[in-house]
Amino acid sequence: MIFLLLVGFGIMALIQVPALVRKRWWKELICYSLLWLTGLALSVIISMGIIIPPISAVLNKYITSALGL
Amino acid sequence: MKRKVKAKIYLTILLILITICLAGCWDSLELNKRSIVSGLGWDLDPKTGEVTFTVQSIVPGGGQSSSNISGQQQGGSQTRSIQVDKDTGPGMYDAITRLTQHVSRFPFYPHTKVYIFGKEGAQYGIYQFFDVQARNPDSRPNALIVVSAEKKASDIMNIPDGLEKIQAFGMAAEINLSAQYSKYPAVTVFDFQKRIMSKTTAPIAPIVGIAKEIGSEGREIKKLRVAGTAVFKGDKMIGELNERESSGLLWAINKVKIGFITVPEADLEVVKAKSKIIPELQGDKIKITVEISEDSDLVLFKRRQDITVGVVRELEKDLEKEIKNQVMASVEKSFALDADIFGFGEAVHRKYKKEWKELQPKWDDIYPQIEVEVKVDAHLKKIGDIYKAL
Amino acid sequence: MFLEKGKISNFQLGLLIIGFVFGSSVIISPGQGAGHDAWISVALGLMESLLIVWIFTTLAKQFKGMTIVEINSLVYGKILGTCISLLFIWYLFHLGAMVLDNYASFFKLEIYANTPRIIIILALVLVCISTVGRGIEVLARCSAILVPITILIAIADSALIIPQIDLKNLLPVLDVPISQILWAGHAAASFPFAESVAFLMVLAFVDITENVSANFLKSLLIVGIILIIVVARNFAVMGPMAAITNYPSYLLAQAIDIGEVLTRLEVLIAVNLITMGFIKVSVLLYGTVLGLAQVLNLHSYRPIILPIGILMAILALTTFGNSVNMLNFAQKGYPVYAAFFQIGIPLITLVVAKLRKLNPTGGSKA
Repeated sequence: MIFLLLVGFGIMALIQVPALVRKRWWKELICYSLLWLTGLALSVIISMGIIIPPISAVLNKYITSALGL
Repeated sequence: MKRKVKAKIYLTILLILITICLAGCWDSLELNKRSIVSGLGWDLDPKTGEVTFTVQSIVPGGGQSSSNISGQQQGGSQTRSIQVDKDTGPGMYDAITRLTQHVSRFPFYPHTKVYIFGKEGAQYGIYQFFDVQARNPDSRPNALIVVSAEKKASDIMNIPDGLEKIQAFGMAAEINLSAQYSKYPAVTVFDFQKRIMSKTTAPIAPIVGIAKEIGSEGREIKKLRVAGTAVFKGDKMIGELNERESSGLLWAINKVKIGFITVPEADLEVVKAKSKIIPELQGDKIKITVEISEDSDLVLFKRRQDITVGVVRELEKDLEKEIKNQVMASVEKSFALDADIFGFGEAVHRKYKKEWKELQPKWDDIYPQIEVEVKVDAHLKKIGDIYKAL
Repeated sequence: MFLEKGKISNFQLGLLIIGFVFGSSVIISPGQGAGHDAWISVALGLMESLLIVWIFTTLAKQFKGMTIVEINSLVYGKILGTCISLLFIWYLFHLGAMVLDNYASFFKLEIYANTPRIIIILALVLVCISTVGRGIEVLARCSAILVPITILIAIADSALIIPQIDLKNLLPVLDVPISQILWAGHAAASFPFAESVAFLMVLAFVDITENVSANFLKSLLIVGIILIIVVARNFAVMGPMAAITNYPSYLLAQAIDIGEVLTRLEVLIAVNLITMGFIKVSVLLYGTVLGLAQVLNLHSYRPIILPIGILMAILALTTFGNSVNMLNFAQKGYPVYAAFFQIGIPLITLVVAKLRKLNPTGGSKA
């Protein structure tokens, strides 16, 4: 599974990064890399089975307890 | 040049992906790994709480008899189109999984036309079945609900239907036909669910039983027969309506399409009928008026007499009396069973929103005290090809 | 502005709005929690959302040709404006993930029971990514074909089920406490009608900005009326079952059986979901990447579409956990959460802009 993820993200990077480097769009490259790394990290974490707190559920808990719905 | 090559690569990848997806991805079902279930039977043993699941599957290839016969089969020489298998387990899904021990294919439900309940199971309570059915995305809401007149559902699932090769489809067609001729109601899953969800209306379902006849060679032949209407309270079956009462029920709930009525000295064919339930709250008393209006044609006149206006009037009056009697018969039976099969409660709810909040919890006590008045407006439209007696 | 060179016509915008609002309401009926009076809640929600739409289209008209991100920077100054824009972008991103989750849940339950969720999500996200990469014009042109088909299917569905309609199921009217109906009305406004606040990122590219308001309101009315009819017919046919099923329109389509020939039409509902879900997610993805590109002052939004799309897919997998959480959030938390972005941000921005006497060229008159 993790292998597939690495392959997938690798393909993603291969498609876009050379074009960015060629055009010398450094800001875009940094942005892209940050997002890419976040995506990779999150996917690996999920596929390893560690449960990420569900954002909407957490939000829901705060809102309903604050407003007492 | 480079762009063209790139485009071709993308196109190829896309086509491969689409082909994978068209086959259903992970969900591709090979037809020869599934058995198409035409009818489903559900039984519950009240002593042990075990569920028996009977599955009537269609044999592909129409009449090839195979040597692997499990379950009960009748008559070895005839070609089989259906295969009946059943299994028992402590819970519903246990029974289904046990089927995998002696059936080579896993059941496939989207073609099921009838759900049959054994009488024993129906009297115990069938809520579990409806919960499973509602949650399962495979089940069709148009399937018919049937109660078996025998103790167990599996008893009637073996009986071959005369004209149809696939018995469950034949059963469904029979029920629909008798509903069309206004003898017994055809209840789909939707209808039953609506009635179960209502707090006061009683669910109904047609009863199918076995009729034994002596065939041409003197042997006993069993045939299917629609033979009554089951009345439930909540999810438990508490009683039945006979033929006359079932017709009365259909008149009252506006489910009469066509049919025949016999009055003394004549037979008439109903061509159009409409009924309305009008509730009235008078202080503490509830009065329900059932207004029926119908058109019919004359098909048999026993008196050797010419048809005059007076005769027409007489026949209409007889017709009104007969319909009124049928409806009142069903009303009396429903009072005796204390089951609101007509939906009178919901009619009161729709009209008297505020008062319903107090009436509804006491409905079981209020219901038999309701005053019911039946007003029938019958019209004789056509008298057939001859207008004087032979 | 320089990031997007496309222009869309008012007609295309209208269709795009219809497609967007239709979105996941194809299968998830708005107005839940009001029992068989849900159609009243949807009507109330429609009216409330017409007001909301009027607010933010006024904002868009006043600042012609500027997306909400640019407007924010203008009205609030660079720092505060960027913060508010980032919040708005987060809302679009989160909404996109929620729509994807709804989409995948439907397909996983009804049709693809064994396929892993991520595959279903990716199948849609990849298409959206490639469409957004080509600009807003392409999306508008897609909607010109897809939306009329969807409307046709919705009308055909309703027409075919007419034999089974029993209007008595809708009576008695106003059976549930009024407070429930009003709350469900506000919930119907937040989902799906006022989610069109996402168009604040798109309205900048309409060629004639004068009749944007009228256009928007017209589109909302069309969708609103269709949805009211859909919700009313769901309850009319199925009675109280429509309140407890997850996907009433789909169950309803399973019941269509005309002459034994027109059966199993529920697949058309799934088709509707695919097309309208595609439009909704694409618009949200587009808003997110364009907004982010404008906030960070990038040369173009094209490079970041792919990673943002993948992140949206990942968020879609984890944002809810299970469908009970989703239903709970949809009925209780979301109407409050969304109101901040749908009503709060446009309204406050409009008020502040009026107070600062700003005009579109950027300087303040005082």
